[in-house]
Amino acid sequence: MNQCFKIFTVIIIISVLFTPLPSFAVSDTTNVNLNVTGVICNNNGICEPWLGEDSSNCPSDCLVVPPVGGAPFSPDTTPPLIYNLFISKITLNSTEIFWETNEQALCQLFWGKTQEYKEEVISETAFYRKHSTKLTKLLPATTYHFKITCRDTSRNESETTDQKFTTLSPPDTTPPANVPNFEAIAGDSQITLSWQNPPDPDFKAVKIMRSEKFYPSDPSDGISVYDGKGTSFLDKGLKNGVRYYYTAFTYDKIGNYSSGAITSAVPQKPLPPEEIPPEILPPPEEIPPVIPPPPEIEKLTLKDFDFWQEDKKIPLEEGIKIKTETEKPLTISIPYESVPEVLKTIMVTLEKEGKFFSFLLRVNKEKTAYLSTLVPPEEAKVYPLTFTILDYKNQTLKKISGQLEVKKTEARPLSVPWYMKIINSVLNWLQSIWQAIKNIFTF
Amino acid sequence: MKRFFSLIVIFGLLFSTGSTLAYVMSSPNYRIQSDSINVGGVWQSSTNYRMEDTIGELATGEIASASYKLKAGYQQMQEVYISISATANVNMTPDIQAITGGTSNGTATVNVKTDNLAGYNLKLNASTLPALKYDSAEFPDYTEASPPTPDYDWSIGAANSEFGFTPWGQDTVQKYRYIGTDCNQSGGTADESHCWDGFESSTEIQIAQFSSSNHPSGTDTYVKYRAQIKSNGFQTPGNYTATVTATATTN
Repeated sequence: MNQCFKIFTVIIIISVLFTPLPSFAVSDTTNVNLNVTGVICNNNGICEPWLGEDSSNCPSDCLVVPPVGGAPFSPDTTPPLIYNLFISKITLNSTEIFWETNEQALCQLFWGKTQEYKEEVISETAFYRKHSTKLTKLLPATTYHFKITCRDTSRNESETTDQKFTTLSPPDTTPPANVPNFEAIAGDSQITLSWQNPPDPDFKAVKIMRSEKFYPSDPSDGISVYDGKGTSFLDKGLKNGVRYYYTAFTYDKIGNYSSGAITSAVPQKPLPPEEIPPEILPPPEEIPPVIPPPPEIEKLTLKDFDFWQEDKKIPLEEGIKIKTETEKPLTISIPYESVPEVLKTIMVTLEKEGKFFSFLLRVNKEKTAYLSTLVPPEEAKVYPLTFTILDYKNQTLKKISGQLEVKKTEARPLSVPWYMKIINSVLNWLQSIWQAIKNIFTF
Repeated sequence: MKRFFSLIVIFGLLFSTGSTLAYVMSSPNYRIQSDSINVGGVWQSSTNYRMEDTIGELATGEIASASYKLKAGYQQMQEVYISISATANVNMTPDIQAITGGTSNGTATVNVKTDNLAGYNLKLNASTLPALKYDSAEFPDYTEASPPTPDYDWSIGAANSEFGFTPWGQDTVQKYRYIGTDCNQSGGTADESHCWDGFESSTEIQIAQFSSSNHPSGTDTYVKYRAQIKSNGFQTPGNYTATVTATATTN
């Protein structure tokens, strides 16, 4: 018995040793789904029952048409003809393109800014004779190229040549520059106004508005006293002793008005020579006295204003100086949010040869900035520049001074061809010989 | 003595089982994972605990060497845990147009958890040949340029349509790892864009393996599925489905 027990023990141990560790397996399942859209019929001219095509759902491929007159069947090898291609409804950023094919065809339109047509490929998903597509998200005033490829049900392909169109340009919303040198000279019951017209090519005329209260702020504020292309006007029938405020608005053919150039004068009876008082300079002396400004106005400096010439921003130098060139309109702006809503007027005054020429800054349509465009003086020198900010009572809140340094526009040096240099040097040489001969004979 | 030795060997063979069996006996409806010879045992339980004990077993205890550890005895049987969880449905996007063609993709996540000290391996197989089917219409399985090495870039013929996959994740096997533009590179990178393979029906294709336990969080392996119809190809319109089974096995 004892012997048996020992044997049994050994058997158990051996059996445990022979039994390997078990291996466990678990599974889970994923269903992968894909939707293939479209019609069963692929219109390739071949009846393919293994794809589900039959004469009922795909007559173009599976309906057998007996050859006319017993003629042998010949495969279609003629590509589709693309015709009646036209471009319609061109806008700032979209257009529609229409074309036709002389048989059922599946077309693709490739388009882009170049003949590489990199922007997009528009593919039709069914066969048609009349085709159209719309291109969107285009850029204004941009030329686009496109071509169309079409294949018929027998896979014959045809392609158009390069086609192009140009999107519309955005409307002109830029007014001409303000008139320079707008002056008012007082006389007896009359004021003589004079100015120069701006150089803008689309300049149409000047409209001058008059008021006895303050400078008219827009072309409908006050009384219209002049509208034309002239450069001077005599305003008669005025009351002596009353200050008359004038604003000259330039405008273009579309009706964009400038922010306004301003001046004022007080007509009076001529006095005997001994009684003529010393000349009183116009603005800014005539503007009501300065009152304490609100904090947002108080902290304004010249740095808050932007200066632009030919779409290039001019940096402020030494904190007060703006360097500009003659002949090119200068646009001055300040962001709308930089000044409070209650503000009524911002004006910029240029001092030139002892005279003051002032311009209004007007808020633009988008209400993003106050703007004024003026023509810099022709003479190259430094001119004092003053910004005056008034409140709704026409009280001066703040004055900010700066300098406008005007330089002559640099003429682009003409390049002289190499043969002209040689000819010039030969001519100079001949001229010097001729001068020497003349000197000898003169001597 | 000779008889005694023969008896031992016979018993040893009788008690031993195949290396992959996880049970000692079975009927059509049940399997018994393990059994033992003893004189008694009882289930006991309270509100919070449950206990099973056994008495009278022979040769129980723990024996260990440098390389092996033996826990002999019914109650010492090692319980290995392994679980798998795969995304139930993958809806590939976008839809593909039957005539003009296109490419559609979808990704499934397979999470395997195990406390098995020797880790796990993960395999995929499809239920049909080819895998992606709709009634009698089907997408051929992706064919590699040099089977069985996956293709670094997805590439099919101009008039073809095919369905394939690529796995990636930290446990991805070497076959789907690449260095430069070559797949099947040890220590390479596995990602969702490279090393494309096709199913081979019920043949299991190993995609991941790990040689240690990873519980409690487990490890995610991702499988990106792709179907493509080239512009000159054609597929019958319809809702195609592939049923893919992921099987995780303890090492």
